[in-house]
Amino acid sequence: MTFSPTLALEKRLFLLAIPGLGVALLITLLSLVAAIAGRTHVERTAEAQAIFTEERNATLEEWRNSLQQIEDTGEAPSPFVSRPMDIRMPAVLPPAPLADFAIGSTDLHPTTTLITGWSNPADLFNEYEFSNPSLLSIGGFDLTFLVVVVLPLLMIAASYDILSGDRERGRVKLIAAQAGHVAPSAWSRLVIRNLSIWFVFSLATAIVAFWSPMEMTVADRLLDFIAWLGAAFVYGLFWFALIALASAFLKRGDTIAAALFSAWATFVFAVPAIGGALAEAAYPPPSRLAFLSEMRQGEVTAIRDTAALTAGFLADHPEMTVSDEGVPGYYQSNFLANREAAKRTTPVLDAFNESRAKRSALVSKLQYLSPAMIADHALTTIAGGDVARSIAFQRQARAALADLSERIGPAIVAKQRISVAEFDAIPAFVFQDRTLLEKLRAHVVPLGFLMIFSAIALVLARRRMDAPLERLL
Amino acid sequence: MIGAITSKEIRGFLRSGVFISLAIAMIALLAGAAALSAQRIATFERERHAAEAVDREVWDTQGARNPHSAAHFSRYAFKPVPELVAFDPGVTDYAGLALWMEAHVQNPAVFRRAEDLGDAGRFVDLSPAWILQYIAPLFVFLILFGAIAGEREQGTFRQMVASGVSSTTLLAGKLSGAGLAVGVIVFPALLFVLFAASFSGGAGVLTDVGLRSAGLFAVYVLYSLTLGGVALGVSALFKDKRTALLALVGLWAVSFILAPRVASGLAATAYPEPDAAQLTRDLRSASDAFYADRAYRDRIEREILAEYGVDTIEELPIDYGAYTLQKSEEHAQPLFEAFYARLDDIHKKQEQLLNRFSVIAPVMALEKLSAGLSGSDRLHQKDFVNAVEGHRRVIVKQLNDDLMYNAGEAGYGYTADETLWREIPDFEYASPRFASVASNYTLSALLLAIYAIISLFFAAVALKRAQRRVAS
Repeated sequence: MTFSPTLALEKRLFLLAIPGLGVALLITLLSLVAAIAGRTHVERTAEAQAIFTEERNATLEEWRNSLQQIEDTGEAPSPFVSRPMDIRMPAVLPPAPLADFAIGSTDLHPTTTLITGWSNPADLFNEYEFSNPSLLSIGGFDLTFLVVVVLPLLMIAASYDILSGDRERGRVKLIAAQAGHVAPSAWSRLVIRNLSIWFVFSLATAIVAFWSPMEMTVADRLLDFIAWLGAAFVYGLFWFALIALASAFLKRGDTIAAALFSAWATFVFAVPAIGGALAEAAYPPPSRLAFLSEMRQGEVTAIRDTAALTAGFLADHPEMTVSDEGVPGYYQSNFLANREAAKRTTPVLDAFNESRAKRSALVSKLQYLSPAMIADHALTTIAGGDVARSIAFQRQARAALADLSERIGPAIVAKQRISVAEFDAIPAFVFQDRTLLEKLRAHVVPLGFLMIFSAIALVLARRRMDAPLERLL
Repeated sequence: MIGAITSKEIRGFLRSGVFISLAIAMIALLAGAAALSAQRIATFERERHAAEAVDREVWDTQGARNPHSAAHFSRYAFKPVPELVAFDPGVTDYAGLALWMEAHVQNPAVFRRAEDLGDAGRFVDLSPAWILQYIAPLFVFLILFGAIAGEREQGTFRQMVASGVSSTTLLAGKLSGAGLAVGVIVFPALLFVLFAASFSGGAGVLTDVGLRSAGLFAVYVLYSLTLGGVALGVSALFKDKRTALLALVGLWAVSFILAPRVASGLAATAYPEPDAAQLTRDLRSASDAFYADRAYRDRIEREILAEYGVDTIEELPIDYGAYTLQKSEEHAQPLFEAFYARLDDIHKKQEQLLNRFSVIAPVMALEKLSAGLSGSDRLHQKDFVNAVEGHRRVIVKQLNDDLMYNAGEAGYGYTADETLWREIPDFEYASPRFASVASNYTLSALLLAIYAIISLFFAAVALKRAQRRVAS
């Protein structure tokens, strides 16, 4: 049987029949829901960040103008005006170009902060934990979830009984009698059904990719989209190979279905659940509460040491008590308290990073036990919804805080203002995102492993299907 | 006859390699999850006790200081982990576990454990409840899909019908066989897990842990009955095992896996929360409102002067600055309440949408009930947050009052010492008794009960239909 008659048969049995149309409709609907959910999340984040940045920059501009005036006239209208402690530089983690494809952990981690001498590395990110924990615990619905969890199910449902169905209904003998062998027909039907699923999905996601949220252009998203779709195809290839393997080696339809669904449940849920729990048990995150304790001990030490300068209430309400001469001391004491807190919490922050790296390394190894984990990591990373990107933002913001402290610290401790030129030299925070190649680097080997596994499975399935007819029956 | 069918079913299960291997996997998963969960919450509690001790020490040893300055530094309240969180963590990893009881601001709870778990932690959370909610249904479906359809394929169903067995007898026999087989694995495991969770080193904040455990047991029994009814009904609906399996797995995928995620995505899209930056701004505005409201400040000045019968602030026998600080607290309190009520309203609407999805996804109703009974849902978190806010108001007032009545001539130069710091009480918390919050879960419980009845009815109807078809 050649490809064309098989296609005609498949049109009648699947593509243009209720099952095929139903699958196409379901994929389209789910893609639409996922796209809208992702897009809404991205647009809301980007919009809030734009307002945040605009407001903060306007405040900074006012601060600079006042400083310029002081430099020009040599007189300050108030001791509070244009003090370096009051520099508050906005820092934002902008949504990645393909952020609407994977919400990932972006709903959990902070995406804005203010770089200022009032903060220390430990409390740089605060007051962002407002989200509904009930929704966070369920997780979002996005295109990555659709690929990792739903598409394999649809592939299995659409094609698990291609060979077994023919076998159980006695059609295999008929096909073999007419065409000489059953393999080409079985392969063609497997390819047609699975390709049709991926065709509909690719079309839907391509439309989503071209329907760029906010000010992102198609060009911004194109390469990332191609890479994302490529990684999704590799995952799809794995499931195709597994379905072919099961169809070739197992005879009964219910056995094939049970085996494939069990594999799906194992790869998609059981292994990631066990892997995540084991990684946490093996490398538990350091206690956040210990981190807090260190920060507060640092702060109280600094407060005790600077008590003479702060004169009790000074630290919190200078506007009510402090003389013009007292103001720089107020800034100084708070700056020093933050330096002390920074010193004490740096080892705990390092411990967090170390444990996170170890856990991540263990999960990277465990992912070879679950193609779903490989795909989820790769797709989320390419789309920019991974934890690593959020951590990179936090690291860069802390580095910017350290840089700002270095620049303004001497002036604050000396109870002076900085010059306009020194202010202008402070770089605005711009998040340095990874390039696509950098994002792909960590995922090439796991995806390659998946391709090799798929190739081996396909070869084995092909050999089995090419076997003499009596072995297939 | 029921006994004969039951015993035949059990013999069939015990001979089935699929059943034995799935049962071993389930027991291993439950035991592993219970051990890991118990270990986790014991760690959480150790960390909390250590943090509380440090917080007390840091507070007491902060040295001589102005009381209001100390109110800014203030203390932290740490969330005790209820014992049953070892069974069902609910939102524990996604809700903040510490609250800063700072003057002037009702801060959100901070430090969500999920932020430290990495990408893997977000995929699925392994816990005994998760296994019973999501994996147990698959286990039940995989062992029961052939219960009737398999007999129809083999022709034994026809023999049974010919022998005059009624559909009710058949359903009772099949269900009790399956119930015994599943029950022998799941219920002792459930009892063990609940027992272990109760003694796992949790905080002991659940004063009615026995009642809650009994509730959990009852809810999961009801859930298992529903699953059994659905599996038998679907198996009877189709004449071959393959279609029955496909239908059951499809049902599981859609109702248990897809629906909760889609519901969550829709809830976040339909009822979006304002961005964190916007919320922070609003919170700060509420905190600063007193200082922005000149008319209100003038009014309280007139009121206090009238109360003490003096003409000027200087003549007041109390420290007026401290008085305004306390007034600013009281001014902000309804604003904070409004701020959090607005947020809570959004969260409620989101959860109402999730509730609506419970109609097609009973696992969502179970999740809500299970987390509620375990004391690990958002409502219990909210109760903790409210209790902390009550404590914050008490301690900030205590500090402001000390400044108001004792500052005297020193004014803001006044400092208090360890004697005052030691008078500030620790935060202590006990979860609400389930009876007092039970009304929040009535709908979910009702839905589960309706599901159980409908599933049994469906199984009976499907069996009767299968009998008719085989007989005709």
